[in-house]
Order: sequence, then structure tokens, then C-alpha cells
Amino acid sequence: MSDPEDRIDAWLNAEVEPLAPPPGTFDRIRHRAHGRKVRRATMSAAGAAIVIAAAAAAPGIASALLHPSAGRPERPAAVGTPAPASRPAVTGSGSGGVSSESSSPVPTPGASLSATGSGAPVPPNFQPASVTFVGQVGAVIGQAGTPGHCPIIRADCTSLAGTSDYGTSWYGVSAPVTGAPDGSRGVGQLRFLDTRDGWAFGPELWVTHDGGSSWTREKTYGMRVTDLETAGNRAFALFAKCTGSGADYAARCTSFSLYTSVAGTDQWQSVSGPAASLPQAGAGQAAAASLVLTGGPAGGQGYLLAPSGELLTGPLTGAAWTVASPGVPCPPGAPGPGGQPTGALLAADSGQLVLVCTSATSTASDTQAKLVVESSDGGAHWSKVAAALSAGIATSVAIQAQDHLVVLATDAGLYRSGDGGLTWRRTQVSPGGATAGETGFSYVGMTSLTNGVALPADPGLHEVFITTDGGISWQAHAVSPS
Amino acid sequence: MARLRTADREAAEDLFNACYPRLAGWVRRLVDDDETAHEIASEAFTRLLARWSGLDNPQSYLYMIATNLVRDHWRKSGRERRAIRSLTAGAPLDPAYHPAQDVDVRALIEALPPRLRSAFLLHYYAGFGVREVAAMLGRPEGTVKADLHHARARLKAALGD
Repeated sequence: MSDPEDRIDAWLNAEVEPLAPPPGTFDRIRHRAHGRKVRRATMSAAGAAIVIAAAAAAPGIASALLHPSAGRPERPAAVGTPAPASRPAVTGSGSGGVSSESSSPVPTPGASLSATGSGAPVPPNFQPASVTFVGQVGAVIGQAGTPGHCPIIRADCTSLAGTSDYGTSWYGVSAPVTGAPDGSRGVGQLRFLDTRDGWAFGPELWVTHDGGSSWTREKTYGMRVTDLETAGNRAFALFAKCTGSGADYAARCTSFSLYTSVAGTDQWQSVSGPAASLPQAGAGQAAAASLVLTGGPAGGQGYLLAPSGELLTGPLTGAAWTVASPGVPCPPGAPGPGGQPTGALLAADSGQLVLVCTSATSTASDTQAKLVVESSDGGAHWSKVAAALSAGIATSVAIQAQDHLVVLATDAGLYRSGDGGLTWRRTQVSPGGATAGETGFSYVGMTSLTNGVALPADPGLHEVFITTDGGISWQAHAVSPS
Repeated sequence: MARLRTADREAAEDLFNACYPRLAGWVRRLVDDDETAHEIASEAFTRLLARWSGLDNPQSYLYMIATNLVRDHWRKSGRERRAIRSLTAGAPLDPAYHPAQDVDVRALIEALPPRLRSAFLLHYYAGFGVREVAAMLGRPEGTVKADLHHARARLKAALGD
């Protein structure tokens, strides 16, 4: 019995001793279930009525991609009318699911992001997949309820939640009426430029100009939006032709192009120069492309790591981007679920770039060799900082150049370096210990020198993690009850 | 709103009679407490009955919900343990949680990262196939296989220490 395999098998194969229900259990369960069913049916009917009304009133798709090279039929240059802010609300399908006795999982019509909250509840079982912050105000997008039992789109319950106190408390926000990412359909990522203008994407593209109260689907002409970032007064988005299925919607992509749109216009214009058509990875390889923006419109800078390993850079004004480096020290790998970059994780801040190069993953040991390289001249030249920790599989990196802070999210926890990546310490995660302390993370971002946000790899935790001390400690905040 | 129709009620009661004892026993091995096991099994059945129509596989739904509830219980009890520890800082640690004595398979499963733990419990312990677990967790089959591999490797390494 000393062999670990034997002990595991013995535990697993031990006969489960049945536990008979106390008398009356079935009747109690039946009554409780009936009460929940009544409440849910009432709320589903209300939600459906709202959406039917909104669908009848919604105008056609208003925006189109603009491309300087006219005559490409898949990217017509027609310009639509921007959506009026007063459009009737089209709400997300945030209801249904495994609601608890006290939950109120109703899709919230017209609930928007605001500094004072919407007053609407967060749907139960909210599983955050993507997070965005503008100062203290933030939002998460994810699935809620029970897939297959959503009142509006039966299969998926795409939902939004907002916070106005940097993640401490959350309220319901209306969501795009679409599903989870599935091939060419659905959305799983979210970015807001300010508290009014936001985009939900991956692979579809939806826009709001009223803080999420109403959402409009943008045409993408058969392409998928694999990445989108906001800065200054613009959004920049990567459009690609992809054949990946299911959650791997950003897999097997070709023909990446960078587009930009001034907030409020819904007119997407191709960024001229090499970004208009990114160089591909080598033959037979399908790598990800990733986008990082820093600063505002004046002096702000964007960086785009192409599948080939070429690094492009340009201003945030819509003007042409150019090649910063023909090849960064490590090429991007195949995209992970949701288009997550692998192989080369890029972060930028105030002219400083950090690239975390990762080896192929050792699935047996759950470790990964990592190398940190940096550039202080916009990506033209790179120097090695250090071989980073081997623990965990890296998923995301964030930096604050002023404090030489680098935070790395891995499937084995969050790691922090206060010296630009030279030395690393695992961060304190609260509640720590057996569960949250071992939580893997899929995303980390720093929004100021002190404040940052991380998403657990398991959305089923219903939490985001927040730091207010420069990444030293991270506190879990529940977005919704289970 | 009508209550469960007679046929549905009979089907639900049949499922309850067939599955409750095993589900509650399954949970009891994870929480080691009869009362909590009954609470979790009852809550899982309540949620199942509240969603009764349209479920393709009620049994997998039951175990999925039970797995989530067990996870919540572990988190809650972990917080309580830590709160007690902080209150009794300076006093000897509760021997029940001394690392040297806490190395049993259940505790190690509890300590697995959530991503690995759910897949492990549903596949190895509840007996669902990889495809079924992938559908339940909304992950690709390959990811589930890798998670199962990682989970076993971690348990094996921990038990070998």
C-alpha cells in the first residue's frame, strides 16, 4: 500500500457506502424545487418580453469596416449611421441556471456601467471570462446560469457585471445577445475605453456607447476578432480568417489585419503599413498575434506581435504602423483557448517592453522553462533579464515600468518580480491555503502602480482577484453567488 | 405554474430513490460528515428538480452540481480553519491539520487546483467518461485528459514525498 498509485487507486475504488435519505427528504426537495421553478419562470417571462420588444425596435447593423484599398468585396467601405444612445435596451441572457434560494437571476434591461452602480443584481453562477477596468469602474463578461437553460439564447447565458469600487462589489449590466465563443459565433472578451464606450469580442464584435445598456453587433465580414485593446479615444482590433472550432475560435487563423475605430463612430479603418496584413508564421505553423497599447492618443504607442515573430509598432492616432523588430527573441506559439497567446507573452508600459518566452509545456510535471527579455527602445533591441521561475504554465504577464514590477499569471498561481524579472516570489492570495492559494490564473493586468486584477483559470470560482499593493497580495472578490 | 406532472414526479422520485443514497455516500467520502453530505445531496437534487424538463443527462448534472457544492464547502471550511488558526495564533496548531498528518488522498484531492480537481472527481471518482466530463466542464477533451494526467501526477508526487 506504500506505492502512491496503489493508494490513489485504493481510495478511488473503495466502495462508496450509500447514505440513505432521512424520512421526508424527497418531499422537502420537491417543495423547494417547485418554489425556485415558479420564481424562475416569472423572471424568464419578464426577460423574454423585454428582448422581444427590443428586437422589434432595433435598427439594422450600422457600422462597416473601412479599408483604404477599395474594391475588396469582403470589406466594403459603406458607412452606416452610428447607433443612437437612446436605442431600446437589448439585454443579455443572464438568467436561469443553478440559482440559490435568494438569487434574482433576471436579465437586466438597460442596466449600464456607472460610478454609482445599476441597482440590478448579478446573475447567479456568473463565471467571469474577461475583465476590463477604467479607473475604479470595471466590468466582467462571462457565462451565468446553466448552459442549455437560458431564457433568451437557450444554449448560453452571456452576461455582464460591473463594479464601481474596483471589484469589491458587483452589479448586473446588460449583455450582448449572443452565446459563448463557439467557432465563428459568440463573444468571450470585453474592453471598455471609458464608462460609455465598450466592445465585446472574440469571435464576434459588439459595441456599446451607453455603458452596456444597449449593444449592437458589428459586421466582421466573415472574419473573427481575435484581440482588441482600447487607449486614448480609440479601439484597435485584430481581424483574422480562422477555422478553429468551439472555444478555440482563434485557432488556425490566417490573414490577420489591424483595424482601428474612433470611439462612437462604429467605423473601422484599416491601419496602413505592414499591420494591414500581418506576416504569417512559418509553413505549417499557426501562431497567435497579440496586441498591447500604452498611454493616450498623444504619445501613446501600440505594439503588435505578429505570428511570424515580427514586432510592429505605431501611434494611437490611426496613422501607419511600422516594423520595430523583424523578429523578437522568441516566436509566438499556437493560440490557447480564447486566443490566449502562448510561447511569447508581451507587456509594455512607458516605452519599456517585457517579453516572457516560454518553452513547450511539460504536461507530466506541470512546469515550463521561462525566459524574461526586455527592450527599452521600443522593441528594436532586446536583452536577457533572467531565466524566470519554472513553476506553472504561464498565461499572462503585466508590468509597471516605473516600479520595475512584473507580474506573471500561471496555472500554479501569481508570481511577482520587483526587479524587472530578475527574481520572483509567489504572491499571497487570500483566502489562501488549500483552495484559492492553489488557484491557477488565466489573466493578470495592472491598472496603476498599486492596483491590478487577475482572473482565476477556473471561471467556476465566480471570482476576480484584486491587488491594491502593487501585486504583493491579492484578494478574492465574488462576482456572484454559486 | 403547475407542479411536477404526475409522470415527471414519478420519474423524479425514481431517480431520487436510485441515485440519492449513492450520491450522498459519494459526497460523504469527500466531506466526512453525514449532515453536510445530506445538505449537499439535497441541494443538488433541488437544483435538478427545479430544472427537470430538458435535461439530457440528469445524473451528470447531479454530480456536477454536487462537485461544485463540495468545492464551496471545502472553501468555506478552509476559511473557517484559517480564521481559527489566526485566532489561536501562538497556540499549538490543531493536530488535525498538521501537514504530516494531513497527507491522505482526500486532503490531497481537496488541495488540487480547482481546474484539476473537478475533472479528477468527475472522471476517476464519479466514473464519467472523458467526453462526458469535457461536456460537463465545457472544456476540450484534450484539456480534460491533460488535467487528469496533471492531477494524478500531483497526487502521486505528494504521496511519494
